[in-house]
Amino acid sequence: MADIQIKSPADLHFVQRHRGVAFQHHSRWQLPVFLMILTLFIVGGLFNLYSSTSGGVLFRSQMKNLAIGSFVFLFTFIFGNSKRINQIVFPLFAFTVIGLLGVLVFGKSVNGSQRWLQIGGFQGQPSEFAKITVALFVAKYFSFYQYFQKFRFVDFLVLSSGVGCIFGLIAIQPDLGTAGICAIIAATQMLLVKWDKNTFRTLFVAGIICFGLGWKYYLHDYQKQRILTFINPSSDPLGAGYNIKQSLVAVGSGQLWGKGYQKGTQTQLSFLPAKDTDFIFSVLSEEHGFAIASLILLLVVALTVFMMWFAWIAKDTFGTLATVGVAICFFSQSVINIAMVLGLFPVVGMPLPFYSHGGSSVIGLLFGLGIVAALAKDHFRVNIQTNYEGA
Amino acid sequence: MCTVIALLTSRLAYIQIIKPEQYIKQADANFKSRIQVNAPRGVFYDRNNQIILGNKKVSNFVFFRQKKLPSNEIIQTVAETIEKPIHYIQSKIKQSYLQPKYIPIVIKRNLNLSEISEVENKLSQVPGFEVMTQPGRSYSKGQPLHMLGHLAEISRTELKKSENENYSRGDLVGKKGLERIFEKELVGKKGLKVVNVDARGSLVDPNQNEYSKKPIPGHNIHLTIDYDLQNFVFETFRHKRGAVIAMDPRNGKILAIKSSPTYPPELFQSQLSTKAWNIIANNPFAPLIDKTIRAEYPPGSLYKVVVGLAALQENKINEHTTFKCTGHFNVNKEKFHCHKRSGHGRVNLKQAMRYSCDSFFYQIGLELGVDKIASYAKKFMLGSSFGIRFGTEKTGLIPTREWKYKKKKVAWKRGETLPVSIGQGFNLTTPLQLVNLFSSIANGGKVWKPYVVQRTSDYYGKVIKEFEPELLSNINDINPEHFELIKKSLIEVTTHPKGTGRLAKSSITEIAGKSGSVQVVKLKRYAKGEQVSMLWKEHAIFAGFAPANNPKITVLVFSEHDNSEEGGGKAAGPIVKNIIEHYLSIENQNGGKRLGGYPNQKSG
Repeated sequence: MADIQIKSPADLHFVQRHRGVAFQHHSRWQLPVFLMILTLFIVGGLFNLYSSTSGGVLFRSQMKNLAIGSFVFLFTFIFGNSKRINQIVFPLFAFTVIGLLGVLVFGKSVNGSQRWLQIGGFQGQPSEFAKITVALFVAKYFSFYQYFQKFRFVDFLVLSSGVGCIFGLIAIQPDLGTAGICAIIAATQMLLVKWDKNTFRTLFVAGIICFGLGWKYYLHDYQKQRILTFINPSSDPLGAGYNIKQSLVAVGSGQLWGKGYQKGTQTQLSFLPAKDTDFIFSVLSEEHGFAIASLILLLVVALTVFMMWFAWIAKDTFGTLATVGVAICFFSQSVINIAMVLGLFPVVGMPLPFYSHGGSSVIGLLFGLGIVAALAKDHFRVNIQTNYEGA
Repeated sequence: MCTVIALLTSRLAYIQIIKPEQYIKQADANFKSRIQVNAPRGVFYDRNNQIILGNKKVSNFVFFRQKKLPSNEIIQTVAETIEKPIHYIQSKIKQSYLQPKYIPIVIKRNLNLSEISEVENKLSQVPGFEVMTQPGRSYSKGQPLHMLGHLAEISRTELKKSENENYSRGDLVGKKGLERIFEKELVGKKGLKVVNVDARGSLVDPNQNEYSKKPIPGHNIHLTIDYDLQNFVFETFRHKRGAVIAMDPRNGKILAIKSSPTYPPELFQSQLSTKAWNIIANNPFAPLIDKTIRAEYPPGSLYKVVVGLAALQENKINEHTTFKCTGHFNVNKEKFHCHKRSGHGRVNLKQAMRYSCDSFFYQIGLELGVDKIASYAKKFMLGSSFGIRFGTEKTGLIPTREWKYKKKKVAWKRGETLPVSIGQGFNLTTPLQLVNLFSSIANGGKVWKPYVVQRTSDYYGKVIKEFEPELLSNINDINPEHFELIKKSLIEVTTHPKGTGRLAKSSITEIAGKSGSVQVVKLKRYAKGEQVSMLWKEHAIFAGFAPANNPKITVLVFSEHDNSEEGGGKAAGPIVKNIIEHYLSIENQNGGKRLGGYPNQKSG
């Protein structure tokens, strides 16, 4: 404990928290195992996408995305540490806002929503990076104060104006799913800082107001239709309901062991809509059955649990909150996507991390996970030192 | 987090393991598509197992459904190019959207070369419209088309009937003639193909050719027709209109049958344009009517055979009884002319028959009375239908006193018997009745039922149903000597140098025949223009059988509006002679060898 000086209540909190735990879990296996699971997850996604796209253009572009993403991940992992990452939060925030504004002004419109920004030969969705930005922004805000105990209404106002800025810009595009994820990330982080009735009540009321205003003034008819269809699927058998029906048929007909790799009729004969993006999990479930689909669920859980573990033993408040933010980002996207595919959630444009095709999503997430890994590495370094001290 | 994961896992397990049945079923239904494959239609064979009407590949104009409906201008162009009504093309296009994308909807069948080139010229750039080869009937003009009938697409009202549940829209069904009568036998059983399709409705493997149920071809129909003779009849009767029937007097088998003019049967397979319909319907020679059974004409002088036979049997005359012909005959101050105005002098039955003297028959007709004549005519089944299978016959009309009183509420006038006794007046008969009358004369009083279908067999040649000759009546209350006398007098018609049928005299056989002509008086009121003046002409009839002592064939030629001054003998007689000579020569050449045998046994 020699190199840790208690300068602030947060530091005190850290020491108090780790007094009993850190020394019991000093081994270094968590991070490599986490990285191995992550690699397994990503490679599985690649194989699945190969079947879904029949090895076409989208598959090759996903390979490119993964290559870029891996570079970003390694760069962040190697050069990142708590301090540096803390420093880039505001520039990142500024970049994100500029990017989102750019989308609004110069953006390319696809299917009625403006999500794409093209710079030179590259095009991307700044909203995918915005999720990570939100996670880092909230973490940064609380790390300023170094106080864990108090969550004031002022905090909520400051945060919600910052996050709301990003949320609003994404919602205008409109990209309901991503905006929602941003809100979920911020809300979870706030709840983590202070889990009590008050916070919960504040967030709940804010959510209701948001939803009410949105429904009244902002939601498109097709979006309302999606929600209504979800509540009553038979109301619209060929429209929004068609997608979910075909998805269920694909998943259900996969049974326990699936129809075999590249043998799913729903997938290969294109009955499944958006099979490369939103409904990629149906492809997996159809071709590999319950056996592999539940394994993928397990991997999602494992990755999330590892990240939660990293958050729990993080060096400082910023590390904890940033890691939790990325974990929530990963987990909520996965869960919402799978719930949507299984007909438990309305159809919103929500990619399954590393399985759905999408450059920005892959790169953004790998950036986030790079931060998680870098922070974890930072922590383990500390931990190792304390370990030596203790020895 | 645990709750959420548990929820997802249990949902996954529920869909995939506990209740996957409905999804499996739906997934199968999604990509498996059932296509019905029509069976090849049965084939018509002649009595020597030559194919009369078979199947061939024809070029059809089809439409494959597209994402976008064709525009009105395109439909307009298509309608003009293939000469079909616009609403018909629209209905076909609508129909295509009820069917899978890969099933073509036939808009017009049997395109000929010029039509194909026109369609290719004008419509090759229009997506969806194509010329495709598909199986169809192979028609030619030599076929007995009226008897065979034609096919047409099944109508909506027919489809609704329960007995037609095996048919689907666009299927062809027999609408006339044998095609209609034997529809059930000819149609066969549809096959079934299960193909894989993708979400856009395209075939995954276009070459997939496995049947899950093979189509069973329809039964073949074996006719009594001799196709060589039929073709010969077509050639010799080519530029004439009317009816020709050749029959075997020994059993009622029809050897050749022809009604002219014909119409192109493929026109009726899909809806006619108004233009095409008008051309056919306004043809003064009525191509749609099967004149062998559906046209009623006065029998003309052919009726004299019946009158003569009646007079002989009723002992009104004998072989030597003579009557004087002065060229006309008066009844109640009304003058009835003989066709020879100068008169034939004193003539007996043979001479009267030979010269076709009207006065002679006026006088014996008066002595017999109309009811006696009618009773003899009815013995030969004139004025009633035979119940043949290839169409609905007209019955014709043999007038009696009772009939006239019932119909016109006026008593029979004595003078009306005169035209009746020479086959004019109220008399109406169909060509089939006349040819059967002469067959009965030829075979000495047996009335066979005329028939064309010998047997039906399945695809492998196994006989399914056999049709035997049917004797409708045997006239044994007439002395056979009288038949012989009539026969002898009929021989003189062709052999005597002054006989009305002398042009039908054959060098290789002895033909017994009778000429006739039918006045077309009622048409005089249409007397306008050249064509109609041709319609004024009398019909020329000639019926004959040969060899006279052992008849093998009876031929009737009924040539409409084809009478030169001399009566039917000149226009129709030579045709009868040619047909008889041709038939007897092919009979002698091949003898019995040409008969019998089934298609698959032919090689053995």
